[in-house]
Parts: sequence; structure tokens; C-alpha cells
Amino acid sequence: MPQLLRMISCVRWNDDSLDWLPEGDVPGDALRDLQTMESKLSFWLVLPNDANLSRLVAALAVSRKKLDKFDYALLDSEDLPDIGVELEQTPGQCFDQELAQDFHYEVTNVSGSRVSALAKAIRRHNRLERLLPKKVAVFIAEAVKEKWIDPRHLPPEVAEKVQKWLRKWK
Amino acid sequence: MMQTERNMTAPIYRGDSVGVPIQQMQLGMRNIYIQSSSVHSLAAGDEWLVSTTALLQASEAIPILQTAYDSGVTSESGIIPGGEFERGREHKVDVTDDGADVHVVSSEQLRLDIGHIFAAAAEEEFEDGMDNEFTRALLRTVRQHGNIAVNELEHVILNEQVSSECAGEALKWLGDMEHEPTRLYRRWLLEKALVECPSMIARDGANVGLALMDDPHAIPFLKKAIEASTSPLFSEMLLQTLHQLEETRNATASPDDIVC
Repeated sequence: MPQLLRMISCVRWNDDSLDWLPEGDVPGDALRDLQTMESKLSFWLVLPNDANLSRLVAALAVSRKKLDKFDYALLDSEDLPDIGVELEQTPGQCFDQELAQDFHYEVTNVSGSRVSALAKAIRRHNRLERLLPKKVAVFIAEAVKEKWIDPRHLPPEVAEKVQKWLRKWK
Repeated sequence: MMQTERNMTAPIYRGDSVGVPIQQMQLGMRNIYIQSSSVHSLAAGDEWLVSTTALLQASEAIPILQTAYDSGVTSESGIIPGGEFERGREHKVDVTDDGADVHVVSSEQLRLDIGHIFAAAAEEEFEDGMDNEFTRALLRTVRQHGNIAVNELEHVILNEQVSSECAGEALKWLGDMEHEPTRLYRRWLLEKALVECPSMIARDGANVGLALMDDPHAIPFLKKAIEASTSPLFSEMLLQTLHQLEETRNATASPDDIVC
């Protein structure tokens, strides 16, 4: 089943030093990464074998002001019916128009307890991932080369750092 | 130019046992910290920062700074404009005969300024890759005051006087900033925070900061942090940075560096 990507901050999901945390639960801080808007949560569809992952990361990373680490969680869409939420394809916002049109989804009907259930489902599959800024720079450069992203859309600080990394690693 | 090395009569001590690039010059009963990336490689145009370590009255400060001048730190163009040392105020002085500037700043005032920056950010929600007033102000202060500002950051971060979120954010962007005069001290702070900060959020900030800095010097510190980590998730994040720095080291190693 397809995976759904959402940007998070990995360190908020760490539960190893929390002795009091019940088995299968997540730290309260993790819910900060699942803040709903109109009871909906935004996700991006990842193709099998992460085929479009680098492209997605590049598109989302250039929506930021600075080149930074990219932490994300992957949610198995198979878990959604059991949680009671629904998946709806909607236009997303990023500089890669094709991705924005075809790969953005919203999880709808998200109640408070369902947010918690989504967080537990993410943690259960343990797909919390990090890409360091250097890797993100490589993905952005690739996206520009493939013309997925117009280089004119790159924020100046991001463009400058990408150039720096590429020069260093050429 | 090597004016200080040539003219200085007072002994020079390292300000920190690990080689933080603050040179401490003992003058009489008072200490004055002189900042330079290397006191032995001072060149025309280098920026010097002189900071008193204690709060001094003008009557006390002027003779000390006069001694500094006599020792070759400053030039005859003047020690402090107007001859007044005002506590808490930065004095920019045109000194040294190569035209370099000397800033005299009260460390007490700097401590207050940095405290205000952190206090203003206490409720701020940080988001990866997004600009915020906190980091802008912090990096501006480091650029302005150099290692003396990093010294204050070391104090508040390692002593946990600020929230772990703020500490983590500060450490991350300290690693990203490009400012050669403070690079060694910033790296030292990140390495120390990585292994010593109790908060994982702060340690992760240091971890990402070191990845941004991309300096293989941090490799032993990352290994130490991995050994100490009880969290598989955090260990994995540290490992990624370690692998990146090892790649950097291998890519930049010259044939002469390879020991058979």
C-alpha cells in the first residue's frame, strides 16, 4: 500500500528515555507535528520503492527559507480505515506543479483521538526518517537539473547553500 | 602584522584548556580577553575584540586599557573615545597602526542582551528551514561581538539556563553560520553540547549544526555521543552525521594524510 509522507521533527518522537510512556504510545510532543487545520492533515503520496521521494523532498525543501535537515514520517495508508479517517486527493502547495497536482492528499475527519491513533500508527511502523542538509541540497540540485523545479523559485539562502554544497562535493 | 607578539611584554595564557581561540592577557590584577582567530597570525585588517572580564569603573578601566596599549595591543590613536569607559556600552575604537578596529564591550551587557534574545524566543515555535527573529538576532550578535558572544552562549546553553528548544535552535544555526573568526569556538561549543547537554533536543541541534559545519574534527565527539546514546532513533541521527563527516574526511584527505 502507498505510503504517505508528512514533515515532522524526529526528536519529538523519541520515546526511548521516557520510562513513564505506556507501551505503544507516543510522546505528547509528537502531536505538535500533527496539528490539524479544519480537522484535516496534509500528506504527500510516496510511490512504491520511494520512487518519487527525492523529488518530493526537493519540492518541499525549497518551500522553506533556509537549507535545513528534512525530517519526515511515513504513514501506511492501509492503517487509515481502522483509524476511521478518510483520504482525499487535493491540490497541494509546492513549486513542483506536477507533484502539487497529483501527489497531495488530505486525511480528513481527524478528531483528537484519531490524531493520537495516527501518531501511534506512524510510530508502530517506525518510519521516522532524517535527511541531512547536504542530502537535501543534492535532491534540490537534481530537481533543478530535471526541470521539476524552476531555479528562479529557489529562496536566495537555499540557492546559495545548495551551490556551496555542490562546489564542495563536486 | 605581528605587532602583539612582538611588543607584548605581559605573559599570554590560553583562555581555555581545549584551545578555544581566546587569548588571555594578564595585565596587573585584571584580565583582559583578546579575541583573534590566532594571535600569532594577526594580519592587517583583522578585527580584535577586547573585553573586560569584570565590571570596571572608568577610573579602573582606563589604566588597564592603557597598559594594553603600552603592550602593543592598541595604538596611539586613542584607547576609548572621549576617555570614558561606560559600563554596558560598546566602545568602538580606532586603534592599531594597521587600521584595525578594537571593540571594547562589557560582557555583562552582552550577557543581558543574549538573555533578552532567548527570553523573547521562549514561546516561539521553531520550524525547520524557516527564518525567525531569534536566530537572526543571535547570529547578528555573534557577528558583532565574535567569540565573546559565543562565550556567553556557551554559558547559557551548557548551564541549561535556556529552554532546550532554544538551545537546539541556536546550536543548529551556529553550525551553519559562516564567520571564520568564531568558527573554532563555535565548533568547540557544538562538540561539547553534543556530548554534555542533558536535553536530547539540544544535543540534536548540536548534531545538525555539526552536519552543517561539515568539519571532520567532530568525528570523535559523534562517536562518543553514539556510545552514550540510549535511544536507537537518536543514535541513527548521530550516525548519519558521522557518516557524512567521514565522507568529507575521506574526500579531503591528501595522499600525505594516509598512514600505512
